[in-house]
Amino acid sequence: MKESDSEREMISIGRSVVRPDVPDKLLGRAIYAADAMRQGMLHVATARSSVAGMKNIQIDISAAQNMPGVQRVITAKDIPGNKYVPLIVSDMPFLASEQIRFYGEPVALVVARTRQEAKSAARAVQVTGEMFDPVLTVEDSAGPDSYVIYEGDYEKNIFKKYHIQRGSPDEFWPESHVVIEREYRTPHQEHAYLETQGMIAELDENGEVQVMGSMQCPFYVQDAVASILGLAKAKVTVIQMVTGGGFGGKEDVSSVVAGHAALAAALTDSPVSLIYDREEDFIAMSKRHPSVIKIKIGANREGLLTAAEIYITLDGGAYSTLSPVVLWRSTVHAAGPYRWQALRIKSRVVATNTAPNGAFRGFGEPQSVFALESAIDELADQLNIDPLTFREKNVIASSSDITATGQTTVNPSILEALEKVAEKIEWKDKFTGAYTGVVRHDIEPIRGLGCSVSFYGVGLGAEGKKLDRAGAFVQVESDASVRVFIGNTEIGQGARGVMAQIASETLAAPLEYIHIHRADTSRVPDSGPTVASRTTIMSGNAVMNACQTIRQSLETSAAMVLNCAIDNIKTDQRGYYDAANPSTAVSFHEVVSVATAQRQQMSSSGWYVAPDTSFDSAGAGQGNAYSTYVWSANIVEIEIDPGTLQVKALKIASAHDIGRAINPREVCGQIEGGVLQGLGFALTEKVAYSGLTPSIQSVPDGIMLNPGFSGYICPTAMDIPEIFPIILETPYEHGPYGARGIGEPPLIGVAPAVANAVSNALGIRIRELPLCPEQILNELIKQGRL
Amino acid sequence: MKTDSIMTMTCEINGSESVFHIHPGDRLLDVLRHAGFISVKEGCGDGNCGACIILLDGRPVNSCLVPAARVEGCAITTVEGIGTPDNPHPLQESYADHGAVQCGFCTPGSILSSYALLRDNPHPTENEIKRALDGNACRCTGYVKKLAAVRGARGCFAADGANRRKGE
Ligand code: FES
Ligand code: FES
Repeated sequence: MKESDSEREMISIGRSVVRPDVPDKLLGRAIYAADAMRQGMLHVATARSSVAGMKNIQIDISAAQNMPGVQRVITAKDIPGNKYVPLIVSDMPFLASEQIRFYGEPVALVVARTRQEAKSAARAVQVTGEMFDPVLTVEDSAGPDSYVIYEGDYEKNIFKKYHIQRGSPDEFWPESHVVIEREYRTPHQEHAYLETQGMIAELDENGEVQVMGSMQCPFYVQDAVASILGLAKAKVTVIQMVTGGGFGGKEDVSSVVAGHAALAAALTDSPVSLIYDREEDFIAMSKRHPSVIKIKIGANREGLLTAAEIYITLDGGAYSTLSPVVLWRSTVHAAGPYRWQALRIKSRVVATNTAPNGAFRGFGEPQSVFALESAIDELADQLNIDPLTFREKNVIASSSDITATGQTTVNPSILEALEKVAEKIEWKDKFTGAYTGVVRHDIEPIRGLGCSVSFYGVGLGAEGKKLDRAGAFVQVESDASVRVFIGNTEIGQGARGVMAQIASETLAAPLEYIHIHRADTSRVPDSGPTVASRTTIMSGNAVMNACQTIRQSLETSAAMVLNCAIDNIKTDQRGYYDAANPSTAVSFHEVVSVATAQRQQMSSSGWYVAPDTSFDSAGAGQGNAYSTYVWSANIVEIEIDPGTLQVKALKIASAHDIGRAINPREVCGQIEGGVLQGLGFALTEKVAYSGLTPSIQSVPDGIMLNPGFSGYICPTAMDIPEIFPIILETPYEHGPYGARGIGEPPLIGVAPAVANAVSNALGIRIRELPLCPEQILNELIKQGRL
Repeated sequence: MKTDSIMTMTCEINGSESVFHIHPGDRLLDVLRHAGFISVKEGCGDGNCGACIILLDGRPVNSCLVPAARVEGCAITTVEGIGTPDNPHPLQESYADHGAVQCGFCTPGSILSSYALLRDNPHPTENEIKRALDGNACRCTGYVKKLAAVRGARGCFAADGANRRKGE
């Protein structure tokens, strides 16, 4: 008889231990891409377009070729393999050769002796051609005269569309007591990971290529490198180095960086280093998709939701990259965790002449949740119901309630999450009506409370299920140290630590015996990307799977030592013991020695495939979209300065049901970091482009105006509210030790909670992010309250 | 590069004297990194992130903004100089124990800002800690655990006589 996890004391799971990657980082010894040196290493810089739109381009590299230190200048015609980055639809060239579709698009690579020489020569590459008026907004994109950036399966400039229909909303409008129709907008958000993109590439004497660097998805990178060089994937090894943050920004676009580095290494037959500077990282790398979302929702006299109609438009930028799947997540979550009697969701992602937008923590969902959770508050306001009570009445609360795609879920726990955050912030005592008077600089700061709920499908879901599997390899050495290889990456979120805890628990090995290797495509089969909060479930289950095989060997040997039946073997901190005689235990180390001497199998690969999911994309968009969901609730308390109209967050309570916290302190770290990125999205972060923002006239349209930390404002230590992370643990039956994942959910609900708090404070509704003082000022002026 | 513009610069790094052959325009950040002090990171190159912070005569400065030629005769401290694997600084231990490290790219700069704070002000207030870390951008942690780590290390210089500032 095996005891259940909840009955026995765990060895490593649930403990807030220090992560294995931390000591090196603290001592300054961790090696990131820019720190790597190779004998004879050359440096690569990318020559980029200085305009956003140009056709029939000519690239003149002659001046650059003659600059000091330059070894080679590379353009698209030098690419031996595929000229397009392999992604969902391969429309993005590694190097532009016919058209420029966004400001900062790569046109050539310069290889030189030093980085500075490469950078100077890259600036000397000349691009000429016919300029066209770049398309900068989603409205322009569809216009009859707009430039054709993309042509595919749909109308001009549309990358992808989705449609979900359940019942007929039109039947519900007449009988609804209140119906509102609103439009919401969100801007670009920059990842601002602290380490810029960077790769090292080299060839060996067998013609094999090795690429190392900063990345989230080594298997995407392997694909890209094999593709650009026209090599078999078996000849391409990709190794992730210590990575200074990703947040989605090193998911797809690192493939471009790696492809460029590998190309330069192959053509110069030298090891090369390609490190981005901050400005080009801002200009050319992916961002969160801007959105325009129209919502019509209604409720009956009892305050129950009736129907929803939601139209989502995302701005995909110049190439499709990951836009189709970002759109899908946005669409599937757009109606929120609510009980709707009928709904229709239509969505599309369109092309503009801006840098391609891609993955960013939340992956399309923060946009649709901002819109819906703002609208839910507006509806509650019209019904004159407390917004928290309104949510309590309407959220998915039982296993028979269904999501937008008609899916039932196991143990939805939003109500519990809401209760916890409400208690923490004392909603019932503090929630009062808005200040509706004149806002003068000499009045007291004005406070407000706002809440939001959300749910988050963990993993790739039905539209990404081809990739939703993971491998691992575990080997117990004769000294009882354990090496573990996984296919997902440590990007700062703590994956290595979580995997070590899982391996330690499953093998009953002391945590310090476990060594998690860096991700290496030659050691583990394609495990899909490190995204979608999927690593704990996917790699975790694969590691458990491998460890369980080895554990059988260990149990066999332990039973021999203890002279008992294998079925009687149990484990705890001490090691292996006989359940009938628990006082004597043999240590992991001892059991390993015996098992090794007995020639037992002490290594194993592991494999895990996510439970099946479905989505009827050709029909009504129904199905079991994801195999499990994280349920979340947030409450924020803000204060508005009556003089500057600046919004300051004072307190945020953020609750998430993650199944099981493998390392609770690190889970809190994920929540705190996600909340602050969400707060930046809510209050200060916005990318400005010429042509959309008042700017100097001589600048052509579509130039990014704030490519750096002085113009793009992320929250600092001075801006943080008191953050209360709250962990709920309703175990997930298929999760390792019941765990789900936590990377993305904490960011998602922050911005609407802040917008709702601003409305609660001042009685004004801002429907466009960021919630900056100018917007509040304009609203107050409109209402004559200044 | 014009070889005739090479000059010599001498300074003290983590307690040992070092001589560099530099160009007048070289950034201190690059000189230190080339000399192997890779804990000094470049996050922006324009003084806005603090990843390149070092202590220059004990004061935290952004080394991306300092011409190497300006530090002739100065004493420089990097993270390599304040703790080793066998003997980490109490502040580094506090960062580990509080879970204040995620991707780690901001960590060396942040440790040095905290170090300078606690050395000069062994028991800073919450606001003083926030102010001291205001120049160290961190996109991962939300700062909460970093502030807790500094709070948790308060008094670490006072407790260690060798590190104590003169006159305290
Ligand atoms: S690199 Fe010096 S402040 Fe950012
Ligand atoms: S830990 Fe990643 S930037 Fe601070």
